[in-house]
Amino acid sequence: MTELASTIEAAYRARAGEFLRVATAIAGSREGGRDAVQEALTRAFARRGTFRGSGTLEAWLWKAVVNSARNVRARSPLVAGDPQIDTAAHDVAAEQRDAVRAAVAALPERQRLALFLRYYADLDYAAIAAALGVRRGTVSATLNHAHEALRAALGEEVLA
Amino acid sequence: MIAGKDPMVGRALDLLVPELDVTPDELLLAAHAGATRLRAVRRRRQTVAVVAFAALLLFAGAAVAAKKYDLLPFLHTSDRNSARFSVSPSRTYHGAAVLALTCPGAKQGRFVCHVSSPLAGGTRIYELGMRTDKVPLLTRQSMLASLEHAQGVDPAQVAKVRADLADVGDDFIRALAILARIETVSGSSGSSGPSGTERVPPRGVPAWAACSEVTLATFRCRPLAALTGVASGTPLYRLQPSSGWRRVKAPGSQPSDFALMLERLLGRKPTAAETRFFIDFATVAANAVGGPTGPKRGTTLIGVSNAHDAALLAARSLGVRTRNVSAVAQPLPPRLPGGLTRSGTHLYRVSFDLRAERRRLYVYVNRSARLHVWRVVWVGTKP
Repeated sequence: MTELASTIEAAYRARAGEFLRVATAIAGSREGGRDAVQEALTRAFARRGTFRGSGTLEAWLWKAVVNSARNVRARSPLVAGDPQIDTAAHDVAAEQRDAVRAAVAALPERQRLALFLRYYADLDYAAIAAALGVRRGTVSATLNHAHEALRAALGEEVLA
Repeated sequence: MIAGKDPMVGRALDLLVPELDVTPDELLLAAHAGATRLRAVRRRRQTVAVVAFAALLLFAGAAVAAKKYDLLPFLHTSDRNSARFSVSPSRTYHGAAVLALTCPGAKQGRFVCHVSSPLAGGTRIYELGMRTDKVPLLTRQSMLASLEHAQGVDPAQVAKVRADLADVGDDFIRALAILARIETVSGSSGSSGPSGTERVPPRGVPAWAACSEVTLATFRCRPLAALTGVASGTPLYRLQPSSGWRRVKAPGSQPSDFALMLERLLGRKPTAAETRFFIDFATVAANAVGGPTGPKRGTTLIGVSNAHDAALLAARSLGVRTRNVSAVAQPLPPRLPGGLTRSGTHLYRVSFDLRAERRRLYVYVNRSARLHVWRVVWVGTKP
């Protein structure tokens, strides 16, 4: 294995859970999330020569995962409410979860992606900006809008 | 509040996707295997492109030119949702291919489009369907070289094709080179309605467009139908149905008849040696495509509305006459070939008669939600 392939593997291993969680959120199902991460890694390994080194390798990997997950979602739009995502705590929070899902689905795509990367992967603004191909200032504004929209849509009783 | 984080939003999002247990090794193994196959397929695409081209061009429903090198009269099709065009073997597009374009001035001739979102509403939205493939440069020498490197094929069969090739005239090879440049894309509108009908775009608005980047925000497009000399790698966009679409009688299916196509192209009947060569060549192509070391990703859209029909087309499009074609759905194996993903993928075992022999292929199909068509994505002799 080349040095770059080893680095990709290490970057993935370090944050495998976060990659899968973000991909699952974007793709809309666990299976879709797994497919997306697998596709992204496959392309990263096969096309590692295209990594120009202009940003970090992790940002490059995040971008690949986000794009793959968006493609998976586009191929299977009907899995948006796939119940496989929420098998945990099914009986307790079903109503809240449905409300959250509807509110998140109503957000513009960029706001959704920024939220997922910020909360599920704990990426900072610079990393989110690199993954989404936008400026750092745009990330800050996008997250503010997303927070406002979610608060307005869900109200304090759901968010509390 | 933590900078950029709202704890209550965080709790809400935790409800949506809880933390997931993950075994990194499992996905890594699959990804490494997929990458190895992807690289191998790329290498093979360079070295055995000629061997694979027969299946490729007939998967594409290739048309032919009756007058040598004059493709235009034969690129027109009566299907408003299809576009037949020729690809230049010497030109490559290196620009961007965004997911969607808004083209308010879409018409015959050149028109300008603006980068858009696939989720944007309105009319004249074009979504990315595919990029054109690189077409092989066919010569006698390149075919011999490709046969030399063919993998997953019976060596005796390859030797037979090589011997047949020696009996084939140069004009026949030139005809194959022309055929290899022609591709067809198609896709039904995917909407329900009376059987035998389909929805088509408003008159004068192309269903498919070939576009190239002008600036970061604008693209220049041309109707794809009957376009010649399209650079390989050019992004092809399909018009999304909107309120202006009309319902018309669907054109009948137009199965490829290779003997007729060759005859029209050559301006004469093919010789017995030429016919024999192509049949053997197509068989080698099918086996090279499907062999365990020679799989080939489908690269061309087949616009059919269900998975079963897409699987049947894989056998009917081999370029030789196949009879008694049947397809039986199979469960997906634990590991899919070539890095294919499980979502939306179906597997069929397709059986058919070819030259008095019963043959079997395994065909993976996948639905393009964007284009509402099923595509053949993998053909193999094993699942």
